[in-house]
Amino acid sequence: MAQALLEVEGLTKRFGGVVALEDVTLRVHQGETVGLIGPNGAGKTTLFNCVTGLLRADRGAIRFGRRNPESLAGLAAHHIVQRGIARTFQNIRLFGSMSVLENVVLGTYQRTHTGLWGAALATREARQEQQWAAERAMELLELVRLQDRAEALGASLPFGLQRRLEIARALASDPVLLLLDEPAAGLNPVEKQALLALIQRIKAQGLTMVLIEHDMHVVMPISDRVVVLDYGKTIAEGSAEAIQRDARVIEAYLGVPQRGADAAR
Amino acid sequence: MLRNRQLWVWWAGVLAALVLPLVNPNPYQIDVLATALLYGLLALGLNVIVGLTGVLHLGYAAFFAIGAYTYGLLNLHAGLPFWAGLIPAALVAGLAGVALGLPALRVRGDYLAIVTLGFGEIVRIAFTNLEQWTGGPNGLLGIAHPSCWVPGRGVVSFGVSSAPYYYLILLLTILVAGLCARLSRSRVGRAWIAIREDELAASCVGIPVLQLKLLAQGIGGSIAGLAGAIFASKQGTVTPDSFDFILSVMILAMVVLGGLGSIRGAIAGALILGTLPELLRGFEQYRMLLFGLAMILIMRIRPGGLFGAAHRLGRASSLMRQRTACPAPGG
Amino acid sequence: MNSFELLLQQLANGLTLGAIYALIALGYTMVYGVVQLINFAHGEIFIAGAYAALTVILMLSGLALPWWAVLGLCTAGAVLGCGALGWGIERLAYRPIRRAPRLNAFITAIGMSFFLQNALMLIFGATDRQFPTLIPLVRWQLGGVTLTLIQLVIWAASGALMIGLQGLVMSTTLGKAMRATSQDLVACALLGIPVNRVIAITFMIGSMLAAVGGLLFGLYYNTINFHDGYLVGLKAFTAAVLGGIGNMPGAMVGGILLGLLEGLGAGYLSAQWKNVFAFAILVVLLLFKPRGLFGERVAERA
Repeated sequence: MAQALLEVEGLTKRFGGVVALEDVTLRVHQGETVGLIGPNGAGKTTLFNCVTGLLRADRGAIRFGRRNPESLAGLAAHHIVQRGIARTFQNIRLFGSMSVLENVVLGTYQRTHTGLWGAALATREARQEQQWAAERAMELLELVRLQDRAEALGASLPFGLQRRLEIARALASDPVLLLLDEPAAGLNPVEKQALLALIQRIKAQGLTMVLIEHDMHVVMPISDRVVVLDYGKTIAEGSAEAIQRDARVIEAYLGVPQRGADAAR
Repeated sequence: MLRNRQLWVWWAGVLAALVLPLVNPNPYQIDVLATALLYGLLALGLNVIVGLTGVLHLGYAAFFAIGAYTYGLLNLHAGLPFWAGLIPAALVAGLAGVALGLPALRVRGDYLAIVTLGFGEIVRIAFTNLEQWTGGPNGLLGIAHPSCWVPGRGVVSFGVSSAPYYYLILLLTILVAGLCARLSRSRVGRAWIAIREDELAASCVGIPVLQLKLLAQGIGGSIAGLAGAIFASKQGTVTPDSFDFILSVMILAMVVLGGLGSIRGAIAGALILGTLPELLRGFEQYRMLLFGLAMILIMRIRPGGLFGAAHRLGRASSLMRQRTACPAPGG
Repeated sequence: MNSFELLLQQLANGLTLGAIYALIALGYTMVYGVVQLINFAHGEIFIAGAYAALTVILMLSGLALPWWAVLGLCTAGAVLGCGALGWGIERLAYRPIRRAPRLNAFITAIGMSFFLQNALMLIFGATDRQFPTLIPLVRWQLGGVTLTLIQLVIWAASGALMIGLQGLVMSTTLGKAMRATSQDLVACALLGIPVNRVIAITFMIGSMLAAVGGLLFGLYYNTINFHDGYLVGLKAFTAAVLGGIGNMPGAMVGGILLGLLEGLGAGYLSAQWKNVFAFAILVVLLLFKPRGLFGERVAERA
């Protein structure tokens, strides 16, 4: 079996007495799209937060990289972006007073270098780099179909477009792995279709993705593999079809063991 | 085109400021303006920390004090002339900013505000109590005024006349304002604003939050250090009570009044609040009372500041965010 | 006096000061709890309490009332006066900007502090005012430690007020409404809790506690100055932060702890450095416990 790009092993995280993650193991391979599902409070976002350096796990290992896997434990969030992991947020977190373009340009921070002196003196390199960043951001805005709104304020966009903007911002760091936290939440059916198409386009570029999603209509068509979390534990893993038939998954979502599920077994 | 018009207004303002002492040579008024501009320099520096980066700093006067004492001590003990003293003053105050930030930036929000307030008080009291070096409450006396070479007259001291200081401070304010404007539009400045808007999102976009906050503290500190050296050379004396908490608050009020992150706002805020007590001098003992009242009213009438972006914010940082989405106040 | 007795004496003095700090710190913490505002004008409310008590005492001076009656009446005057002041400040200055960014509220509070400070100076003068020694000067020698009746009164009064306040907050409907408001103001409003009234009452209670603090301060030190509001207020605020702002038992412990530490600092270090001592402790503590001694750890949600 090929070396995994992201390898989460035995991850445990507690908040006081509440166990948010217990011994979670997750492998994501290059080029794969993994759907991460589970009821509210199952620990999905906590898992993202541990991987992206916002939370420190109590136990377990997170390794990243295909050739020379490197432990991400203890790395700050921006170092993890530098290693090639980008993310979006469940409750969109844009920089509200900045333009759409500026939001995406900020995503290039780890890929650019202008320091204090370059900025203060507006050196040739600084100006060239700024130009490059703006062009790169425009490319990404085209990818998410926001090129016409580049000058608008991030916060002024309708909700559905804010989601796309956040994805463009995440892509601006040239990630190897993209973590999407409920990208379809709060979108209407039309917007959902557009989002699906966008994720397909990103997938076609060969990017590896993990997405948290509740809506099976979003998860199923784009996920190569689905992982189910419940009460902080991995309870099932497999292809989309297999997961939909899994009794434990149905139980986790509906609360009680279902007769239909028993029969299906 | 808007940019061009703005630039035009800028240059008109600069020109007016340049000719003002020739039109109106009243030394008292020039002195008030010079002091207000010095506040402008301080407001520009604090604007980097509070306005751009969103770190609420309540001890900014400490950096001003450190700059003033650095130049004062170097001048008195090592005979360092003013122009050479500017560099160590800015450097030491900037380093103090970084040194304070290194441990303090672990603390967040209102708690950080209190740590910085404590820092400001500690620095002031330390300057008061370390009598063998700082002269205690009496401060440093006999600090040299700046001097410069004038064609036909040789090296001339600025002495106690107002106009040379006015021009010196004006020049430096323009320089620092230009630098800040450039910075705020650069990769570094955008990252600062991102931190102000949403620190957590900024870190997840790849911005090294702590490092950039330290940078902001360092730059803000050195600008205050520069201002401190000018202040020391202008007064000729430095006493610790010039750097009390009220000063930190005044500078903060200037930045907030002007609009967080706005460069012209910082200068406008400084000019207004810097001259207001003088304009209110006719009211004698009531002037600080009116000053407090003015602060309350301004916050109520223009909550985003004169040139602020706050009114167009959707969601924003911990500093800018509404404390609570309160029900409509009333009844 | 041996060194152990010196220690005890400093602790007794520190406890007295700490009790006053605690009363004031409670006001900071309660207000912060419900509206997340650092009420910078609270120190001025405290010293206004002292001035109000002084005014009542001077008005009654011709009547030859027994000292306990004067004490009772001036307490009532200070508490009512400051309660009204707190209510008025909230209503006129803070409520209109409750929806504004928090920095605005903070600047408004600072403006209010300037305003009150100068108003007090204009009304009562800039010089120190003599505060009468109402309570008879009774001393006890316990071993080598001297205790005075005033100290006992301060301990008893602040202890009783803190216990009473805790009872109010924990077991009355009003207290529940206050705690609920500090958790989630919007939800409370939606549930029909009269949020505005709860906030106003919180301000009033905090101001009344500060008024008692001001009176006790005057009785203990015998002189008051309008500047004391700022300095003592700042110390009390430090105490509130020390305990974890928003946490009421934290404010009490923080106040007493700060008083004790200052007492020790004044006894063993030089008095000059006393004020640095409080801030240095605060800074160092916050570096290790960034949310104060009893502040909750709030995990930031992504």
